[in-house]
Amino acid sequence: MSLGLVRATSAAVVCVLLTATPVVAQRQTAVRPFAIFTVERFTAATTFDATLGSSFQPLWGGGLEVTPRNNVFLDFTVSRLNRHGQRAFVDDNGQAFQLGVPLHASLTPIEFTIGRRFPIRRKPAARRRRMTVIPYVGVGVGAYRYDETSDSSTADEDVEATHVGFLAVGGAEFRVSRWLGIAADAQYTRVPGILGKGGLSQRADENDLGGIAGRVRVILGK
Amino acid sequence: MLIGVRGRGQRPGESPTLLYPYSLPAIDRGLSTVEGPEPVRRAAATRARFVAPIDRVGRAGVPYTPGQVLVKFRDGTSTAVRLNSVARVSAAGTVSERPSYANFDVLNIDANADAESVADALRERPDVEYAQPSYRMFKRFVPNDQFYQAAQWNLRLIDMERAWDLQPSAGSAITVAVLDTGIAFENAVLQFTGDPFVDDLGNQHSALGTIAIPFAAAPDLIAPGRIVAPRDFVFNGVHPVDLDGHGTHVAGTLGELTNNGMGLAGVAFNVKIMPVKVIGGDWDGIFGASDLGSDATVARGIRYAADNGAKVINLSVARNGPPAPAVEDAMRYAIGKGVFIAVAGGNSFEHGNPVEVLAEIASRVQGAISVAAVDSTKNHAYYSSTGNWVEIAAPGGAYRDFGVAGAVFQQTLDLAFGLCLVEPDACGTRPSFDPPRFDAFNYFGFVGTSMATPHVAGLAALLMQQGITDPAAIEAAIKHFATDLGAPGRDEVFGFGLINARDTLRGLGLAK
Repeated sequence: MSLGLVRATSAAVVCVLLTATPVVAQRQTAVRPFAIFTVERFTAATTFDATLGSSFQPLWGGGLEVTPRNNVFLDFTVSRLNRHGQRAFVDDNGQAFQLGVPLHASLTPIEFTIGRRFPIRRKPAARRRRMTVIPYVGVGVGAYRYDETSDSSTADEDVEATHVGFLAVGGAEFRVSRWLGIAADAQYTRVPGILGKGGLSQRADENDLGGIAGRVRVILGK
Repeated sequence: MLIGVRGRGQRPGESPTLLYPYSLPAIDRGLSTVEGPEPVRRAAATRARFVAPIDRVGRAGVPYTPGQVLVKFRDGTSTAVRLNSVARVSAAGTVSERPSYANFDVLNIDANADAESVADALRERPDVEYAQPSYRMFKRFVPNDQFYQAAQWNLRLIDMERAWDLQPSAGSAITVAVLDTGIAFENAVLQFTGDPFVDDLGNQHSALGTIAIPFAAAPDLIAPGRIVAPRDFVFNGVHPVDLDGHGTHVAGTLGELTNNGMGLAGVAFNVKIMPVKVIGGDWDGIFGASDLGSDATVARGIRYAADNGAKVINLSVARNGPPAPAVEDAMRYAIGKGVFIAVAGGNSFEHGNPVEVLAEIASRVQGAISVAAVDSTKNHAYYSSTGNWVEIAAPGGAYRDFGVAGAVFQQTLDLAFGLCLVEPDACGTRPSFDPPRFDAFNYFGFVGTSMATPHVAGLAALLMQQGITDPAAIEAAIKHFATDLGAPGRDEVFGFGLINARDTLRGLGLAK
């Protein structure tokens, strides 16, 4: 994804945040923008550990959640991982050696999730005292764009690949106020087709660019 | 072949006497067009954080920076005309402020646009002098050594130039022990006592008696501070001078001084070199060496190198016959201390192709690797032994079909002043007999797995400096990045294939 596209996406997210549907207007279909921070533990742990220093990597992004009715929700999320590391080698025993050749990797997941929210109904008195918690689960698909380049690489040695992946998510939204919610969830993704065909991932027999992520979303709107 | 006759030479085990720790300057006799000895004779023995943007590739396959076209408008072209030209070829195009030290403008276009097409369209316009994409430049280190381009096909065969781009320091932190016939590493005059002998044409020569022999450091190999802990296990001393030429040649392939405008280049041209003499030549025999090379000298040499800081050992020696547990034990000891060992795969293919004992050990021990030889066309070198012990291949050269141009060239002793005196048959002439001198040098082409092995040892040194410190991992990396030759996968001729220096040093990314 180009820097311009990232900027445009960011600007769009900000605009949507500023024009979020008022709570009173959301009784039928709510459109709620959110910003998201993710820490993902990638399944290809050997590959990520060796090249980027850790299999835990942060992603930032934003998106929109649409809740048409009956607590069904549709979720559109764009996020991005952007990291510098080193090319490396893993020996036959799995020991990794970094070689000091700079490497840049970026991952841009564009994910669509459909799910269901399970609002916990409380008595009116309790509603006043406690924060509202709304558990939710969902499944989805995503397009995962992966770019990799290295210092000294020729064009045919760079990687530009996009592949479809699958996801499942579960968590809960905590209503902080009428306009603001914070959601925390865990998401599992499986992204075949990019890793495992070359490089360290092939040597380490790792073919999944997905993983398990802990996500925090700041949601504007009810 | 020399037939030694024991006479009044050095007493067994006695090292030569150092008469003067200096000598006259070395004699450089240039590039030789004479073939060296056939190989079979030797068988007895804060990174930058800059990361390039992902390029687009042009029609000719040349990558260029996306989103940019360099354009030079003709002098006198008004700003309005320039902007009009830009607008006509690229609706979204903008001209940024002219960069410093440029007489052209940079037209910024959409990163996904075809910059070559935009440049083509601009060139059609009368107000444009030239327009072009900003094609990507790559650094290319090509040594300026005098005979590099003409003679060193072997280094280009393993993509050495791009490997040097990745590691310009070329192994400066690593010590490589060359276990061989010694190295021409010092300027000195040594006193030897010569036995009578019979040369390989059957001529009997009387004893030379006690003579002073001049030695010089090979000028294209030795630099101040380069030599580490020299040791001689043939004469049991600390002057492992080369009386043969083999060891100096091998050391040259490993680390000939490079980009000095002189002679030739070497793989790991900044490594420190530890000369360990474990095998003798004809003159060592004439001078009464007690052991001209055996399991004992090799095993002791390996242990010595490991105990004195070597991180890589080059073992361009070989033998056939019974197992060598003493050598195997020493190799395991050295590897246990973090030393990688490259072992010659043997030159006996046309002589019954027997099992090569040291190479066979290397094939069983992780952290040691046996090396076969290929010629300049990446084919099996006619002499290179084959068998299940062969693990990797490197340029060893071949005279057959190629002549001397197919050999591996390095600076070594001028054979006319040494080897040819006792092996006139090998040199094609029969010069009159004189005491030898070892201060004259020439750039000779040798062939053999002895020549192939230092390519691998040098690569191992570069790899060790690059970050792979475990000998077994070095072996795995060299094998992993080898260019497969012959039958798919590992085979008995090339092992895993021809070493690829650039790919090995570059390592792996996540997906490619």
